[in-house]
Amino acid sequence: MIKKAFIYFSLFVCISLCTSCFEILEEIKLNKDGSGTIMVTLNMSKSKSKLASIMLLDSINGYKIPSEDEIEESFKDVIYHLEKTEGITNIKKTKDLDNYIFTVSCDFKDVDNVNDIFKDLINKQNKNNYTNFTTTNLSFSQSDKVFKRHFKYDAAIKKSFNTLKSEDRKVFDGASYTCIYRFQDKVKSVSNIDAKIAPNKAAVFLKIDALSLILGEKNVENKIQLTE
Amino acid sequence: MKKFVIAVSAFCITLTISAQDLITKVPSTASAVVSIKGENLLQLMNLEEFSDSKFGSLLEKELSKETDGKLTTLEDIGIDYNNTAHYFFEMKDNVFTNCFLIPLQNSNGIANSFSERDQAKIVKEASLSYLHEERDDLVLMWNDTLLVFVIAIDNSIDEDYYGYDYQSEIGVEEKVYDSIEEEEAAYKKEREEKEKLRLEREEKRLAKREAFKISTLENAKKILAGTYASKSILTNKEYLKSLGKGNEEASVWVNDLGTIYQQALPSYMYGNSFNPYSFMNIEKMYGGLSVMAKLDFKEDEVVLKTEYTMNDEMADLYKPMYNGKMNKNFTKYINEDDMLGYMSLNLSTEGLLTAYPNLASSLFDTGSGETISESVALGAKVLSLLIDEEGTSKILRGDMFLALTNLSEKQVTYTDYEYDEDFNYTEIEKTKTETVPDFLFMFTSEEKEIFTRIMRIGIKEKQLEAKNGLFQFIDMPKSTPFNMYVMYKDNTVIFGSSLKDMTAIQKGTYVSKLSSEHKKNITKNASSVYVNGKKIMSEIPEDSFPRELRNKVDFLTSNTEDIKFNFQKIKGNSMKGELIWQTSEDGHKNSLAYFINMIDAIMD
Repeated sequence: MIKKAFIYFSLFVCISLCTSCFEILEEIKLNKDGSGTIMVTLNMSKSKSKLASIMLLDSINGYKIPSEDEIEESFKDVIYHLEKTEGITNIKKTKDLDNYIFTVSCDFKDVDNVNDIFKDLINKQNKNNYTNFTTTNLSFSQSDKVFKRHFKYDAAIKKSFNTLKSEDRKVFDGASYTCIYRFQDKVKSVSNIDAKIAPNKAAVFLKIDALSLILGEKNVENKIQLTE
Repeated sequence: MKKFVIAVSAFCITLTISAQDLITKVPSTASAVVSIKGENLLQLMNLEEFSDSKFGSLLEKELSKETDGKLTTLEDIGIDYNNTAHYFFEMKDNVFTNCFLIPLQNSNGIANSFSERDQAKIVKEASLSYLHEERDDLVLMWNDTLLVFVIAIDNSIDEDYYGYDYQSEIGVEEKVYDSIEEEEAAYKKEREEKEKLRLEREEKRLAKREAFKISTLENAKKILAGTYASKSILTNKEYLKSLGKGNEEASVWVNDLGTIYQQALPSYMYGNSFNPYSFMNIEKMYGGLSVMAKLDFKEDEVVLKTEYTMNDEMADLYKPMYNGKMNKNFTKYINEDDMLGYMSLNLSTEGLLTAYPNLASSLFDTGSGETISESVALGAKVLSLLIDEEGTSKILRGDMFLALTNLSEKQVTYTDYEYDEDFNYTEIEKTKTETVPDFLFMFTSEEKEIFTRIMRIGIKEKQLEAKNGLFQFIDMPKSTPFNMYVMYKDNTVIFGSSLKDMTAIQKGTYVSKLSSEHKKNITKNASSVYVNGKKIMSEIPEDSFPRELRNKVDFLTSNTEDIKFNFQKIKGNSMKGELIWQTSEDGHKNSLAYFINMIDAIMD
């Protein structure tokens, strides 16, 4: 009892002192026929001291902290949702609770299958919060050889961010969103000025800090023209 | 003799209080009084200085905006800032009255502060003017020297209405009807009767409400005139005792919490199973309990003094709990050059275990025969017989000490990605520096044998590892950024996160340094808290601050001083507490100016 109380007090101080940030990595390998593989990684290892402390609490700043079991349950829900989505196969997941790195990957028949994964979630968000996020995140035209990453900034993101307490906003300092797209054809051009084309013309790389994305200064929208 | 002293004090206080002092308008029956002394505040910072501050300018800007430019400065409002403003709370016949008394230099500002629509609602009667918000029972009344703001609530109005049982009033009986038509007719009749009764009650409620509106207005007039049959609060000896020297800028006095608690409970809850009065003797706990707090802005510190006075029975029950003995060893393992703060608690486990069953029996012994009351009283008695108070206090005496001894930097690893020119990536391990706190927690225990046995079990269960006289916890949660050790030395169980400090304490080579003031605060008080503000501010890494404050870290560091809080042992029937917030004198003429300057700096 005394040991537990002592650890909790110590961790409470650690939460205030340790820094927190995260990285989201989205990697898509697209085949010529529009099928491919998508892998999404959430890497929070830079915040592991803080997360290890937070995980022992029931809630922090009014937010409920999930237990390891609840994280596992959520993971199962994600997998179940993916399994239900048409055209999605070969679902894999990894969970590293020592370093707080979580990965989900799957194969898709068509990029529209990937859009279907998030369609319900985005529609629900738009309905409940009067936002206008697009439900088509990816598109590929085989005839035009154009791959598009769609994104429409909604001022609601900034508004929600501004309603957060300054302590909570700190989570986004140093956080980033990275997109890597790989193709079997060569990349001819990209529309996003922050995106880089690999020298072998087979991949596009875009890394944006979370704050720029939230504040609408930069975004992930991209039109990638492949050679015909 | 005591009565004589009180009478003389009352006489002297009355003499020193000028006729202008609004305290004479607070009735003797007030349950709580809050006073803000304008004169004392202006001595620390005059109105012009406050208006020149960013915070003051912002207030004036808002004032101008709210009054469409009719009032632009704080002076324009017409408040007599040199006088004392009061708030009081009174409970009488189920009516709660909240009243603010604001001294005025003139009433022009108040009249100008209203919108044209509200100005049309102002009623003038001889030298006084008022606005009466009938819906909410608010009265704002003023003359040339005083503004009175009354908010009154009559609990009986809604209680009569909502706590009413129509069913029993009509006397509905269960009956078997011969036909559906007969049943429908009976049901219709019952509904009509209910509606008739509801309308009657609604009418009564409205009449009562109307009468209450009138009485609230009359009460506001009475307060403004200060004509009480029961005289002013200056005839209340409990209030007079709380006054003291009067150097403070603000004070709070709350009298007899027991009555407040009882009156605050809606009467329709009486007899309800949720009503604590049905199974607890609340009066015994809160009866005669008063609270006093005084806020004093001094040159280099702000002092908040509190005093909690309880009835004789409660004082006798609580005294043994706080009658602990502090282990002087605690002060041997602290070095104030590194220390960031501490908290000591000096309780007596024996006193606590003896007093709690008595307290529980006393509180639940209502004589009501309620099962819960009888059960708690019985449980308390059984507990008292089962527990060996003296034996338990050998395991945990009740005195404990927690210190934040240092902040140290620790290298922690994390996973990042390295990309080649084709954006293929590999996971790589990087390191970064985290600031990790060092702690020490100690409590007194005479039972070394129990400690040794627990350690043996811990080692066998692979929860602990023995390490040169210390024991390290090896079942710590994953990624916890510090280690934890425990040991037993000189009747003291010591937990700590710094291997260096714990080893030095174990070997007897720890070099301690602690001022006599800290030693006194730790050993003589029931509880003592200390925060080394400057050191904490200077050692917390910049990126731990919210982004808005990062460019102000230097300012905050050079302007943050110590915070101390001491809670004394019970003396007589009182428990006294004192919170001292030390403020930097550098660039601040006193502690009030310090806080205004800090607000200005953060607003930048």
